[in-house]
Amino acid sequence: MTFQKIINRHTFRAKNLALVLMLWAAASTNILVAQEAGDSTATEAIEVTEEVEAPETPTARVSLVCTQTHDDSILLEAMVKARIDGTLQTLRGINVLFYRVGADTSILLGKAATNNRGVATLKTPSAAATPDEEGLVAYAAKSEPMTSLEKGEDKIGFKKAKLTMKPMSGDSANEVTMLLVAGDKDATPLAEVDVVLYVKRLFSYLKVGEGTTDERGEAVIAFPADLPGDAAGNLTIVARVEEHKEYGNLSATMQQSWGIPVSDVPGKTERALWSTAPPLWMLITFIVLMTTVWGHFIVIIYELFRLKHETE
Amino acid sequence: MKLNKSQTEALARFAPSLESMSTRLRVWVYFLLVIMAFAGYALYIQESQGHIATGMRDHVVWGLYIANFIFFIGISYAGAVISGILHLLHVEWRKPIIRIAELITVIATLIGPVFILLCMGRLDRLHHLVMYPRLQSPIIWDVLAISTYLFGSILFLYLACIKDFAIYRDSKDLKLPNWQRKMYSVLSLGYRNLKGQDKDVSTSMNLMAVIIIPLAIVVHSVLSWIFGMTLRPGWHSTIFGPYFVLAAIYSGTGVLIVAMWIFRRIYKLHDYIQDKHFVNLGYILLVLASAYSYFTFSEYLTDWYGGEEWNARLVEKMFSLHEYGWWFLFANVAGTIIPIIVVAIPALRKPGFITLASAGMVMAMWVKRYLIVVPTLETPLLPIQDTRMEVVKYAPTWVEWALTFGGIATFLFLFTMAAKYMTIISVSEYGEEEESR
Repeated sequence: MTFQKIINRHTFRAKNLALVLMLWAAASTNILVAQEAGDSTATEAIEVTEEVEAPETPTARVSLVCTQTHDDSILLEAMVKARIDGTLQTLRGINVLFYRVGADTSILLGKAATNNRGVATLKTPSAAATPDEEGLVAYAAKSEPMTSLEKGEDKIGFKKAKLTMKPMSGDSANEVTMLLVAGDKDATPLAEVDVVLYVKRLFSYLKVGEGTTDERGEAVIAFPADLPGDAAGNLTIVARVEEHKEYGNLSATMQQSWGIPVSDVPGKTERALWSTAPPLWMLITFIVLMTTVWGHFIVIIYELFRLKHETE
Repeated sequence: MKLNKSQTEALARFAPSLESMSTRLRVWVYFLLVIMAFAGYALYIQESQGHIATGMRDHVVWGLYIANFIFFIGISYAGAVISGILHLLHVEWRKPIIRIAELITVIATLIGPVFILLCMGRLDRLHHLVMYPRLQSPIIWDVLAISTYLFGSILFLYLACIKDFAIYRDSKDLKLPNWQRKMYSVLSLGYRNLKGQDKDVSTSMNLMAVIIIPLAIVVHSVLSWIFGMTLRPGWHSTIFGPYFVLAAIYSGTGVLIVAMWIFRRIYKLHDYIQDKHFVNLGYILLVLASAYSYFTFSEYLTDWYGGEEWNARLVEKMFSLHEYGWWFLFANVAGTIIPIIVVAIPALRKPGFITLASAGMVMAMWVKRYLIVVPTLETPLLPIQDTRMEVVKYAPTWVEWALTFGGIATFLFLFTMAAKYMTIISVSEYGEEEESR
C-alpha cells in the first residue's frame, strides 16, 4: 500500500466521521430546541418511536414435578405454560431440557417435547443421582429458548426414598401392604407418612383408600371387592405419597386380578329408541302399516295385469 | 271404444294439443328449459365447490331447499286428499278438476324429494340410508313414507287415466303419430270398456282412494315429526303433525285453484271448469284457512305465553320488524286473512279474486315454510360461538335461488308435458253421467 493511498483512506474516514458528528449535533440541537420550545412535532416523533417497539415476548413458566417410582427410577414431568393474550395457556411442542443439578455443575439428562397437555416427560435412573451433603438430590427443567418465547426454568430438590407394595389376598377381603423406606444405605423405615391408594380407571385414577405408615414404614389398606376390571378382572393399583415436604412424590404400581371381570364385547342389544334395534311396538307398527299399504298396491297391480284377459 | 256426445266434444276440444305443439307452447317449453339448464349450471357449481356455494353453514344446515321440499310435498296434497275424498263421496263437480289435482300430486311428489338430495352434503353416502337404516329415525320414516306415497300417487293417476288412454288409442278423429298411438295402446293395458274391465278399474280406484288419504296424512305427519321430534324452539310441538297436514291440504287447494284458472284460460274450458268449481273450492279454502289460522294462533300463543327462554327469543324474532316481522306478517295476512275475506264476502267470491287470493296464499305458505325452518336454526340452544355473520344469519345464495327456480320450472315443464300428452280433463269420466242416464 502506498503512502498516498493510506493518506486518502484516512482522509475519507475523517470526512465520514466529521459528517456523522455534524448530523448528531444537528439532531441533538433540534431536539433540545424543540423540547425547550414545547414543539409538539418532536414530541410526536418520540411517541411514535415508542409505539413501534416490538410487543413483549411471553416468558415460559415451567413447573417441574419429580416422582420416585418403585422401579428405582425418577419420573420428571415439566409443564410449560405462558401468558398469551392475557390468559395462561399450556404450550404444546415446546422442547424441555432436563438436568441433574450438582453442587458445581449440572448434567444434561435429556430433552423432551411437551404433549397436548403441555407436559414433557423424562424417566431417569435413581441410582445415578448422588445426594449432596444434606442428602438432597436436585433436578431442573429448562424450556429451550425460542424467538417467540422467552425461556423459563424450574428446579426441585428432595431426599431419596422408595415406596413398594405387595398384595395380601385374604379369604374375606384383599389388602395392600405398602412399605416406605429412606434411600440411605440402611433403608431406614419412614414413619408417619400418608400414603394414598388408587385404581387406574379409563380417564383418571380412582381413590380407594389411604393410610399412614407405622414405625416399620408399613401401611396396610383394605382393597374394595366390587371394582370392575377388564375381561380377566385385572386392575392397575397405584400407591402414592404426595408432595411430602422432604421426600416429594413417590409411587408404586402393580397389577392384580381383584376386580370383577367385565367383558369389552357388547352383550345383547336392548331394544330401545337409542340402540341399534328398534322397540318391538315400533317394528310391529311399521310392518303392519307397510304391509297394509303395499298389500293394497299389489292387489291393484294384479287387477291391472288381469285387465287384458277380462272378457264380456 | 265408443264415445258418447259429451266425450266426443271434450276430446275434440283437446285434439289440437294432443296432435301438435303450438308455437306459443314451444316458446314456453324452451323458456322453462333455459331456466332448468341454468339450474343445472348452479348444481354443477354446488357439486364442484361443495355446500360452501350455498348460504348454509354450521348452524343453519337447512335453508331454502328444505323449505322447498316441505312446500312441494305440501302441494302434492291437492290430488291425494281432494280427489280422493271427492271420488269416495261421488261428488259430481269433481270431474273436471281431478286430473289437474292428481297431476299436481305426482309431479310435486317427484320434485320435492330432489331438494332433500340437494341439501345433502355427502350424496355419495345416499345408499347408506338403505344399507344402514334406523327405524327409530324420523328421516327413515320420511324416506319410506314418501316413496310409498309417490308410488301410490302414480298408481292413482294411472288408474284414472287408463280409460282415457284407451279413448285416445281408439279415436279415429285424432290425428296422432304412430308412436303416440302405440304408447296409448301400451298404457291402456287392453282396456275395451268391457264390464269386467270397468269393474276392475273402479274397484282399484276405490281402493286407492281409500288408501291414499291416510297415506297422505301419514306422509305429512312424518315430515312434521322430522322437526317435531327435536327439542328445538318452534319445532318441538305436539300439534306439528296436524298443523303440517292442514297446511299441506290448504296450500294444495290453493295451487289447484291457480292451475284450474290457468288451464281454463289457456284451453278456454269455461264450459267444463265453471265458476261453481272455483266457488266450491273457495268454500273448502275458507274452512281450511280458518282451521289453519286457529292452529297458527294456538302455536304462537303457547310459545309466547310460556315465555320459555328460547321459544321467547324465536317469537321475538318473528314479531320484530328488523328480523322476520314483515315476512311473518305477510305469511299470516296473505296466508289466512285475505283468503277468508275473499271467500266470505259474496261480492268478492268470483273466480278471479279467489284465484288471486289463492296465488297470494300459496306464496305466503312458501314463506311460512321458510319461517319454520330458518329462524329456529338461527336460534340454537347453545350460543353460536362463531361470530361471522354468514354463520349467525342465513342468506340464500344465487345457487340456491337458481335451483329453487329450477325446481319450479321443472314442475311447470312436467305439467306442460303431461297436458300435452293427455287431456287435462278426464274425457272418460265426463261421459259417465250421460251414460247412466
